[in-house]
Amino acid sequence: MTKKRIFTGILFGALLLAGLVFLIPVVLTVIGSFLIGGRLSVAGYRELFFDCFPFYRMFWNSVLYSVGITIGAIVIAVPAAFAFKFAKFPGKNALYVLYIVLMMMPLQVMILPNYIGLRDMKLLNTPFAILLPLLFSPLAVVVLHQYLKECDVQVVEAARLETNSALRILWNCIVPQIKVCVFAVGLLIFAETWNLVEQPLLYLEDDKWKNLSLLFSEAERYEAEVLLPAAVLFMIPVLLWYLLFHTELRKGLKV
Amino acid sequence: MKKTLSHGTKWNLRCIFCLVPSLLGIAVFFLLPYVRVLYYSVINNQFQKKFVWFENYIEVLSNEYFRLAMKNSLLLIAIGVPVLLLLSLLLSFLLSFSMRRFAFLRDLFIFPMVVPTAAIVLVWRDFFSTSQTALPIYVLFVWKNLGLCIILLTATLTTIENEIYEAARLDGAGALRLHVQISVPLITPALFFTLLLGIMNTFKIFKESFLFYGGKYPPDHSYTLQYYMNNNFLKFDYQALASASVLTSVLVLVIVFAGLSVQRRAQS
Repeated sequence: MTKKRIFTGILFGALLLAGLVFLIPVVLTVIGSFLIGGRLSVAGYRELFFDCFPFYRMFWNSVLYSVGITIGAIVIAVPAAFAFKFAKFPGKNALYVLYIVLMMMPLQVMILPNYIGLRDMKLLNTPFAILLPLLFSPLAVVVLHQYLKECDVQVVEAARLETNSALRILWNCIVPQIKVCVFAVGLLIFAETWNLVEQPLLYLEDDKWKNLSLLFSEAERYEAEVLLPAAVLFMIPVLLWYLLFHTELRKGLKV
Repeated sequence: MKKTLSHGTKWNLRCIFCLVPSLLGIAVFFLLPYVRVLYYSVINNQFQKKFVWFENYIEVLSNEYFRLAMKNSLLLIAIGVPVLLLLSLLLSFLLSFSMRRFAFLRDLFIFPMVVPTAAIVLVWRDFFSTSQTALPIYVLFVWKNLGLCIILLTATLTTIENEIYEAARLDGAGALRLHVQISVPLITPALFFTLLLGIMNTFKIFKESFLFYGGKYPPDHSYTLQYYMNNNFLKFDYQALASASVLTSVLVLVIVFAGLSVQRRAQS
């Protein structure tokens, strides 16, 4: 018994250590943001807040993209996942496989035609160039549909005696069942769009609509001292979401 | 005579209609663009638009940078994904069974998944400043994606009924046999999905690589397909880009269909 206890203790220590190693990059970023030339200082933050004006604009652009895309993508993906579960039509499985393939596709496969398409629609250099293509997330549809596989179908059958409206049934019978998954997918999409780099670099020219991640990919354009403080502030919104929804994230993803 | 739709047909049509917004967007931003890619890959250039069969493909396939990129991308899939899966399997098993009391440790591993990498890449660069291999990107890949894999695997592991294990234990099965014969088959579908997401994320790690190396030209060991496509886009070499895109999508197709057929065989 004691042997087993010691073993468990060692294993716990090893796991805890490994887990803490995972936090190192974040901790180092925070520590580094208060160090300038090897000394403790808040000068970086002062400079960021009072002298680095693009920061505010970029921050709010990031908020616009992440919030807009997260809400929009969920509103579009939930009915789509519902359709994959309940609709019957020829080729449904093939279409679902297509969604999986599109979900896997690297962004770079589509950059050229998307660039040309956005140019033809006169959307380049506008926030819509970032927002629109990301609203249609195959990943969200696939993950939500995987979660729906095990949902309670009898509730839907019962509700259909009352109403034949798909939207009402979706809202009243399905959404409550998949709430955790919706939050988990929302958090995933938010985290990913908060960290958007390639699309704004390729589809936006002037600084007006650029988001905060570009402060780091175009780091040479800014004072070196503001970078780490900006990185810390950049992490905060996502970390707040994580603290709020980490249980949903853990429970909402099933396959 | 007026035709009326039956109750069931109407319901079915309404369900199908729920798919329309998503499908429209997918068509406009994925499918139609893809048709364009196919078209660009078989013409000689944007101005003459002469049909040249597979010339662009032959050119791309014989291009040394494309080959290098393909090799590096496949290596990341062949090495990065198994390492990721084995680590997450190990951790998921530990945190779902013998170390169940300490399941809260899971959050430490899940956390990097939401951390925006653009923010930590500065520190990462200092940390791996002397690296002569693609190791920093591999480590970043595992660091970022371990959480998602653990979530997916533990979600399934914890749904396995405890009675199944109890029954097997009464039959005298040891811990190892218990897991090999019960857990592994039960989590195979989850494992398959995790594998797909892992491969998907090897493609997405381009963003981190791009940030880490600060631009278009990484060292040879980290030059992946995305760099090849990205740089050809910036060079306006649309034919090379289009053919490389088609070849990459064929790779993705092969991976998905191989995965699906393996999964189907495993289930039957």
